[in-house]
Amino acid sequence: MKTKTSLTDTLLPPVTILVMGAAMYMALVGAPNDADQGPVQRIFYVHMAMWLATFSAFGLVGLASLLYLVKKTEVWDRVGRAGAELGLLFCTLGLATGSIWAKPIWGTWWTWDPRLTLTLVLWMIYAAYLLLRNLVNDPQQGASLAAILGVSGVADLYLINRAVYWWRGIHPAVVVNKEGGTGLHDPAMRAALILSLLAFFLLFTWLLRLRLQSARLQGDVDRMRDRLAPGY
Amino acid sequence: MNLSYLFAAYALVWVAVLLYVTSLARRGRELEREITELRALLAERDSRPADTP
Repeated sequence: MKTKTSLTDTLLPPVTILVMGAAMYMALVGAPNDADQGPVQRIFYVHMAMWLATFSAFGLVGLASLLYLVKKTEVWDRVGRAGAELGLLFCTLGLATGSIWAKPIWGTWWTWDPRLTLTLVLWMIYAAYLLLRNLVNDPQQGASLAAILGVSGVADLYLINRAVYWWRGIHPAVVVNKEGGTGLHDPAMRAALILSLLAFFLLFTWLLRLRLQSARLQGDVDRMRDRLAPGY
Repeated sequence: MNLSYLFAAYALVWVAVLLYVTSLARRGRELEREITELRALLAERDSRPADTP
């Protein structure tokens, strides 16, 4: 088990860097310009990747939170907290890249479209998930309250996914192929999207492992401090 | 051409990821240093005779 873990830790960084290099090449050079939007459409490749990482992170938080509420074991709280931190990072970047893309295409940095609004709510849910721990004195109570938020946030993930189909908004669904030259009609565009999604998923996995390592070290520090208490 | 928007989006992502990785690395180094110090303190305490204050 230990050998397998260290092999993953050894291979993950170079593989991520290689795939990321290929993804950036395809997104910025290899894929052709979009017929309607021109080069600015290339933001799409990184924007979509941010959402894959965000959904993976918050999905993990939901699962870890549920397991924490059932089992009350520290490890699931640690996984949830690490996932929430990373999810918040990628969610912030997803909102920011979307806003930068919206300005030249929609003519505005932000609009209260159902999907965008629900995404902002998602950001707030997981920001509250992390803040709650500092606001509640009892760490176990803080972890339990945060876990309830972590589970409820998954409902918002589903709503975000469905928003473009249920409510009329300005945000489009992903167009994979559309007659008339728009959408991801070109194989190089699809390759750029797939590589970008894969690269940022690998980056998310790598960062998650680093964050969990840090959480384990913090756990060691806390245990050693407890052993030294009350003198420390 | 709107290239400035394209540049801004990718630059923002990479700057944020690099800052996050840097903060993780710094946090890891601080924790390792703290663990070394705490281990030394624990070893010192455990090596003292039981009745020493």
